[in-house]
Amino acid sequence: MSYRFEWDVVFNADMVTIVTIGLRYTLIVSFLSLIFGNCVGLIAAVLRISGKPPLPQLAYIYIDFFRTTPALVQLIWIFYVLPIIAGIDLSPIAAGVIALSLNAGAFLAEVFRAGIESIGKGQRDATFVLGLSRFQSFVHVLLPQALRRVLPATGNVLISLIKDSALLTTIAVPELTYQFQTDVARTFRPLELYTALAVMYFLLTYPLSLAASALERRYRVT
Amino acid sequence: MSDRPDHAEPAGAAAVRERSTGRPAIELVRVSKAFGQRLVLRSLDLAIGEAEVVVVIGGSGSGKSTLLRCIAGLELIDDGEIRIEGTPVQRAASRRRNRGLLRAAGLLRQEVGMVFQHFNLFPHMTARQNVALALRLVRRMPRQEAGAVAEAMLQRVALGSYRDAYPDQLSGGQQQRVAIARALAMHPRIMLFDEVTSALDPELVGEVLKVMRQLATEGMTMIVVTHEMGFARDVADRVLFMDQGAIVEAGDPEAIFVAPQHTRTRAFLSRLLER
Repeated sequence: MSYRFEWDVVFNADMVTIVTIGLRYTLIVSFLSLIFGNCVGLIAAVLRISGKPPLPQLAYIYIDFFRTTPALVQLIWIFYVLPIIAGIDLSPIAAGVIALSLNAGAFLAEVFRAGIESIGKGQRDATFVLGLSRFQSFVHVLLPQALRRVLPATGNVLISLIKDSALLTTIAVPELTYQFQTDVARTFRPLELYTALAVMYFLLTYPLSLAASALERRYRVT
Repeated sequence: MSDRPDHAEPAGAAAVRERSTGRPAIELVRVSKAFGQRLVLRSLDLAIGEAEVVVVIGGSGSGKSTLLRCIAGLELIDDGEIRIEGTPVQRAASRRRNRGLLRAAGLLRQEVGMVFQHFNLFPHMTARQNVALALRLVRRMPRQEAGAVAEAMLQRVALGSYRDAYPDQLSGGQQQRVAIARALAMHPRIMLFDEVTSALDPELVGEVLKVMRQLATEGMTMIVVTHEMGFARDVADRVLFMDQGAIVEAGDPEAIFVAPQHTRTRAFLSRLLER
């Protein structure tokens, strides 16, 4: 190999700033998308199992569309096309969070739905004979059990979102990948910088995957 | 059960009760129910009196669980009428496609308690929380009071010290007793038991039957679907044998078990007793 790695471009004072800013945006975007994604996913799951047309069909269209198109395409569409159609202004971060939330939400909707449906019919029978309304039975009995089933999946969704947050560099959100790309343009040292970037993502997601496995073991549903 | 505090009852229950004293607790008039093509209840007529304990026996598929579920309102009948304490709760006519629980059913749902074969306790709640939930949500009792009533109910089924245990920490017999306490907390006048000991290890069956016997002596109207013949002989006022959706034979427990009239009854009992 004739290339000489010179790591001074990575291990210097500027890098601290770059990483700090980049990390901040990466984490903010990922966590916001996780929260909104869960909300959207739960709503979509409830609509799907509600059985009152056209709600299940609408939910199904949403879920299907966001699971079968590339996240990058969804992101570009929401940033460039949606504002024109809807006549609104979308900052890059807003567009990024919306796109990632809808994307994660579609996946989570299926997880929630499976979680809710996996709760035996007997639970609903019991709430019925006790006199609970359908709403009460959902909120106090079904949802808590569904959440316990969904919790292990949440760790993996967060990891997924952290990785997908890199896509936001295409719409100039100053997250980690964008910061490194800018630095590469400045220093012309892509090998060292992109290697460092990959390591950074690994350091972010690996502890999370360990935590997610631990969560899965603890909340395993017998 | 005349010792209910006033605010524990739904507003209309007293009026309903006044209207219907002296009437049979449960009446089924020409009740039919089909699942798809399969006729599970065939034009059943049945009247059960207050404080009567009726045991229903029969093979699987005979319709006995469906009978209980229709009375509880979990299944909608396709024909006939079900009345609780004189008030119709379900009415259907197969010619017209109207099925559904009548408005009165909402109130009267609380008059009927049900215990299931697989307990159906809420796994994310302690025993006390399980028992108190309906009191808080349906009777709108404040948390403290609901908790106190729940504890009293658990004492009644001899599980007072387990009030903070989760279902997965309890044995089958204990879980079933919690389920009974949960149903009793709503002070129902009628209790339905759907094979409540069938899923239990044999040594745990006795503790549940003990609670049920006690309820019977206290004057609860009970319909019990069971295979426990000893219980039926001791406790039942009347035994019904069901087969293929109809009540084939009905009568005194001694009469049914010692001298069954119908060939199908005899066949069922001999199959059961030879195990």
